[in-house]
Amino acid sequence: MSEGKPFIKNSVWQEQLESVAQNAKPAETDYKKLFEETDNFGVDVKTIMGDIGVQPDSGTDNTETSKSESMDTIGAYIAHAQRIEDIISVTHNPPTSPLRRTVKRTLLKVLCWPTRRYLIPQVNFNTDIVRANQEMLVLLAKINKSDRDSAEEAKRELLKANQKIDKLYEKIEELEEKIAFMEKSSSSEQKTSDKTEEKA
Amino acid sequence: MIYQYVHSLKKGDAIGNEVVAIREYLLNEKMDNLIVKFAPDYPQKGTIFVDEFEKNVKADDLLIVHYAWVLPDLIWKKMKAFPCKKIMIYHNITPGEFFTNYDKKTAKAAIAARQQLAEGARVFDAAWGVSRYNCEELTSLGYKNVAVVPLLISFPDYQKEPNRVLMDRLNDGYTNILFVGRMVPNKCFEDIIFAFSEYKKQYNAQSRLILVGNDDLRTYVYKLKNFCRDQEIKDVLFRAHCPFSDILAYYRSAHLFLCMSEHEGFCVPLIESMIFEVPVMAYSACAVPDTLGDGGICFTDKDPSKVAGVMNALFTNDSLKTAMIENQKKQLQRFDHKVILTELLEKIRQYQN
Repeated sequence: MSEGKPFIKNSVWQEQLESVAQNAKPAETDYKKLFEETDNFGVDVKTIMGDIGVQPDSGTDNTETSKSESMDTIGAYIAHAQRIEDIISVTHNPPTSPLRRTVKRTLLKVLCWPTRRYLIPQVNFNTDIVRANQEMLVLLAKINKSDRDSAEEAKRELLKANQKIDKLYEKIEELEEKIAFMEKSSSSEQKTSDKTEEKA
Repeated sequence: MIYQYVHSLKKGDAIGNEVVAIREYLLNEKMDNLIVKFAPDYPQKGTIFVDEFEKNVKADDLLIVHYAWVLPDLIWKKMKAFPCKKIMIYHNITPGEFFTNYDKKTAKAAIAARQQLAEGARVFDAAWGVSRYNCEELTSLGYKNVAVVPLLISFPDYQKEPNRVLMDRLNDGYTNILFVGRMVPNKCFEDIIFAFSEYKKQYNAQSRLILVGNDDLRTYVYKLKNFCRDQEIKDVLFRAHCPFSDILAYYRSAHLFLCMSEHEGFCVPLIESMIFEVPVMAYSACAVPDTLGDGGICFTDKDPSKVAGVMNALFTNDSLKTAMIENQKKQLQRFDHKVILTELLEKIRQYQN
């Protein structure tokens, strides 16, 4: 933003919010750069799921849903891979090097022009499958992690609960002691009062 | 006879809804009218195809063309030759540059549409834009008799029953930030994700971003999803091809509508958010400030931290939120169906013999 240019355009809200915007803590992440570096490869899971008759999950993305979605996704990936019977061996380019991919594709176009109608879709397909496998591994890792995380969280909760119970027991013991003390003192008071009554 | 040409009549689509609403209003006013379409899509009473229209059109008829994308050459050539008076309702065309990195075909079509639009100045007797921004474009291209006719939005449709199950799941204590629109680069979904990520990091970990819209441009959607995955930005929901009841549930569960779009000819979701009393924050571009007016917050800079800061101020200041919703309600009055249709009818009568 150029200096002096207001952030809020409409005058109604400018007075209240301009200082909020100008005093906001700057972001530590260079989002734009990271987004530019992100690749745009993926497998159309929904289409595949539709093809194999799996209904995609809808609604919110809470842990359960995302887990079931992940499982659906993996199922779809496996089905995708199984459908391809004639995968030809083409060296895979990592998604981070689009230049290499472009060069290789261009070479394929030039050198293998008679067969490019067959080859290029296969190259794309293979890239998709490699990508799908990578995603599958990430998803599996995430699922394992989430399981581990939830187990650890449960453990922590259990510990907390135990500590609370321990404290409660301590309190109960304290109370019991107090009650016992009070009972003792009241009985001794009773005795002394009885004695004074007798004396009287 | 009045004809409305729409290239493709889609159910639930803003333009499709407008075409049907105009037809019904004209019928109520006892004015004969038909919808002419090119593509055989969903069935609608009172529609004919182009060839039938071509056979029957007369010099004293009126043809209203809803223009939002390039028309096939065949139709465009015929359009020039039709003997009747012709009016364009311009819904705007996304510039091709937005698509160059993702879909070259769409980019080319958008460029062709812009060329066609420039030629149209010699074809149409009048041109109406759905926003002031659209009208400025038409005037700069040399169109005559340019006027603003806001898009017709059917308010009662939004009172239909939402998906209650989905609503219950969304009302789980999380702050729901919503954007609805086709997942295309000009809508800048990435900027929404950047601001959301910053808000989540700095202010509220219990927040969720819901992105609803057509996801046909796969390369762009993959990039968005890959980015969220790689940067571990959690609670971002991508929802495509939802039933209307789900869209209603998303609006009813939203705490903020955040728009970062850089090209909008009108932006219907801004109005939809106002209907559902959802506070709106939107980047000031094209028709957005005009549609939003002083209702929601319009900002000039996409800096994620600034946007997140203002979002937080809005969520923590109830009086500000209430004032915004009140202003949005006032803004909605501009888009009252009756007012727009009456104006439209007057304009149509000027050109009808």
